Parts: sequence; structure tokens; C-alpha cells
Amino acid sequence: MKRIQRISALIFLVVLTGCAHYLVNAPKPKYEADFGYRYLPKTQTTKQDKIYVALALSGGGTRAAALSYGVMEKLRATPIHNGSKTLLDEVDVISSVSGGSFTAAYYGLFGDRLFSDFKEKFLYRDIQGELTRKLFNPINWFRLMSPDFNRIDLAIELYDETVFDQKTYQDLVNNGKQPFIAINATNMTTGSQFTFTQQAFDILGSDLSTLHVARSVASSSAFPILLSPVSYKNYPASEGFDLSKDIENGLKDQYNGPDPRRYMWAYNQSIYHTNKAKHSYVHLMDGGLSDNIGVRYIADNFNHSSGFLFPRKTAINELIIIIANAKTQPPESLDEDESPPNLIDVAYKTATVSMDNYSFESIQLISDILKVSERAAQEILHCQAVIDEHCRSGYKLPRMGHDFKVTLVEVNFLNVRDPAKRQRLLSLPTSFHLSVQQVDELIRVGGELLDQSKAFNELLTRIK
Amino acid sequence: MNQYIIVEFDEFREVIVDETPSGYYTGKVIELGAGTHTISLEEPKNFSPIEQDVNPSGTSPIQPQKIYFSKV
Repeated sequence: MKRIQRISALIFLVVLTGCAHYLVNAPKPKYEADFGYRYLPKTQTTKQDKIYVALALSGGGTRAAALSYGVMEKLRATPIHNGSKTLLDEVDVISSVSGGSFTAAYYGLFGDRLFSDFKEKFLYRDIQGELTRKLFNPINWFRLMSPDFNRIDLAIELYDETVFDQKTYQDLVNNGKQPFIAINATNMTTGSQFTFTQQAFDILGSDLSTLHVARSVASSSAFPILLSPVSYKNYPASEGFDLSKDIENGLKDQYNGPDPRRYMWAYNQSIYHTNKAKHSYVHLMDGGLSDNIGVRYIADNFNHSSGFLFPRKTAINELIIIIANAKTQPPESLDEDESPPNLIDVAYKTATVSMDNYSFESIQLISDILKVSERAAQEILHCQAVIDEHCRSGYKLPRMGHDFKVTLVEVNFLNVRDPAKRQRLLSLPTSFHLSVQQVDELIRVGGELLDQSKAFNELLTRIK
Repeated sequence: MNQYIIVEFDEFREVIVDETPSGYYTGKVIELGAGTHTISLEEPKNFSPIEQDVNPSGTSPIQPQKIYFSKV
């Protein structure tokens, strides 16, 4: 009997420890417009916005994290302005998903330390094996019995203790928010992108600054079924907070109005403010499900009047988007078999096919948006040239408020010239464990693909 | 589909779009996403109307919709 009591007490203690580890987002009773991890005020950055660099780091486990590292290492080795700085110094925002979020968050927290210890701290490690060992540790079985402690919490603990040194969003604020790190996850209810910024947490009546960065990275990389989603509480509205006019106008236009995308963007955010009873929690999973590239966050902030890129358009001369896309094309054998694919194959394809198709469309979307904007200024200049040539009136058209040159570079294994190497890279698995040789090759290829990019080299001739 | 407007006012002022400073100024062509936008000017508030909702359509950079504010 005594033994049973002792075991019960032990289980109780262990379960309690599990509950104590569960980190929930904090409430924010009072809204403050300038508080927390939000993009810098325009007045603080307009001078440095002349060259505006946005990085989009895709998902794809360690493969994506290593490719992102390679791209950033190359930018660090690329001098501009007669060697007074590097292109990495000019990076203003990094929008990342899943595997790419590890590299982005580490750089945001520790800066150049990325290039001295991130390989050992993350890229070369068998994170997958370590997570599996944690899962099979009997102590964790008891913790996992708690409804407040899930498989993803084991991952968060591991990332927090061994990669991100328990840093919080307040540490990112203290670092000066330059570059701004936008970690993206997917909202399970709306299917839309959820970005870890104070703006998103304002709608939840919550304070992002106390949240551990490891938790946002884990949310961004919580691959369906393998890892459980990460849950956040939607608190009562902070005193003084209201939805932005941009959201209000988007809702007013309705779905059948001039821009259904704007309506959905507004609606998916507004329900967490206007209907808190029905949406008391928000459950997040892998950012790849809504955008495996990370470019939609940049596109939204360029297009929407409340976005941080919108008011900067007029200050920018060179708008540079560099995408590290670690998409693969593993050899496919499904068509060789007469019998239909099994349940595991179907589940895997269901989770990844739409992700791949959507990624391609996302890159086309941002390319189209930026080209239209770039062309607007040129159209006026061309028309003015015709007027000047054919009319004597001296009439001058009003000029465009912005005038920038767009450079969009996609680092993609499909551009690797050597066929054997290309096939090898396209066949890499999506996993949190790759060999040292594979990681080193990915890092090298990130730099090589930038080197061979025509758009990248044309840019360098303009800004060197 | 992007739309284009130009805000006409006696003075050179930053244009406020949806209650946010837009970076664009009066007399220059402004690019907006399609749909309703609330347009105003930076302070001082010596203009009329104080704000106006616009929903431009069929515009281009060469033919933007004109939005007028008068000084009071």
C-alpha cells in the first residue's frame, strides 16, 4: 500500500513538473502602440531604407536551415559601397518558415555568432534523434500524460535549452530589431499565416515580449501529425486596442468587393478580436502549410497600407528580395505500382503536395506585385517622353510617389548546373538530421547559386 | 489589381492612408491596393473634409483618381 502511495506521489510530482513547464503567452491588459516586437518606426529608418533587403527563408528541416545559412554567409562575404559594409548588414527583414526559422531566429538573437557556433549548436546535430530519445524517456511519459504538456513541448524544451539559450522576444527588442525577424506559422482554424509580431499578439490581447523564441520557432516547424500544434490563449482585448482602419475597410468591402484577398486577410485577423468567446485559443502548426517560402508576409506588408513596407516604398531605391527555397523533388516511384498508394503515402502527399504548389504560386505572386509597382513609375516617365516629343504645350504629368528598382533572386536547387549534384540535392530528405558532408554541401551551394544568379550580379554592379 | 490616386491640396503634405502615414505626398501619384481606403492629410488639421473614403477603380499611373482637400 505504501509503495502504491509512493508511486502515486511520484507520478503526481512528475505530472506537476510537466504542468509547470508549460509556457503560456502572457496577457497585455493595456494596449501600447509602440510596445514590444514590432517593426521600427519609419522616422527611424528612412535613411537606411534606400537599399531595402528582405530575405525569405523556406521550410525543409535542416536542409532549409543550412541553405539559409549558406545564403547569409555569402551576403556577409559580399562587400558593397566600396567595402564599407556587406550586403548582410543591409538586410532589413527576414521572414522565415519551419527549418529556415532556426537560422533566422538565431541570427536575430545572436548576430554574427551565427557564423561561429550555429553549425555545432544546430546544423550538425541529430535533433531528430535527440527528440526521439526524449520521447522514449519514461520520465517524459508521465509529463506527457498531462493535458497541458504535449510532444511539441519536449521539442520546445530542447530548442530552448540547447539552441536559443532561453531567450525571449524581449531579447530581440533589446537587440534593436534590425533585421526584423518574422517567424511564420499556420493558424489551424483559418489556414492563414500567423506571424510572431506584437501586432498579431495585440489582436490576442497578449504580450509577445515574454514568449520564448524557441516556442515560436517550434510553432513554425510543428509538422502535422509528427508534432502536436502549439496553442496560445486569446485574452480579453487590451484596454485602448482597436482593429486598424485597414482591416476595418477590408471587412467593409466584403468578399465580393474589389479585393477578396484583402477581405480574407482582414477577416482572419478580426475574428480573434470581435469573437473572443468562439476563438478563446489559437492553435498553430508548421508555417509551411500556409506559405512554405515566407514571401507572403513580405507581400502583405508591401501591399497593405498598414504594412511596414508600404510607407517605405517612397524612400527605397533598390528593393531586393532574396529567397532561399530548399524545395526538393525526391525520386517518385508511386507510378510504378498498379495498386493505389498506401495510407502513409497518402497522408504525406496530402501534407506536402499543396505546400509545393502553393510555394511556386507565392513566388510568382510577389514577383508580379513588385513588377507592377516598379513599372508604375516607368509608365509615367515613358508617357512623359512621348508628350515631350510630340506636344509643345510643355505639359508635365504628375510623377509617381515611388521609384525603385526590384531585384528578386530565388536560390533553388533546380538551378544547380551539375546534373549529379542537382539530383543529389533535390533528393535530400526533410529531416532534422543530415550528415556533416550534406550540411557543408548545402552551405556551399547557397553561396554558389547566388554567385551564378544574373539578377544578383546585376544588382552588385549597381551597389558595389 | 492596384489602383492609383493623386491628392490635391494647396500645401505639400504627407498623405495619411487608412489612418497611417503613407510616405506619399500631395501632388504625387499614390499606389494603393484595390478597395476602400480612408484618405486624410498630416497635421495641422486645417483642411476639409477631415477625411474621405475612396474606392478607386479603372485607374492607372497615367490617369489616377483625383482627391481634393481644401484649406480652411
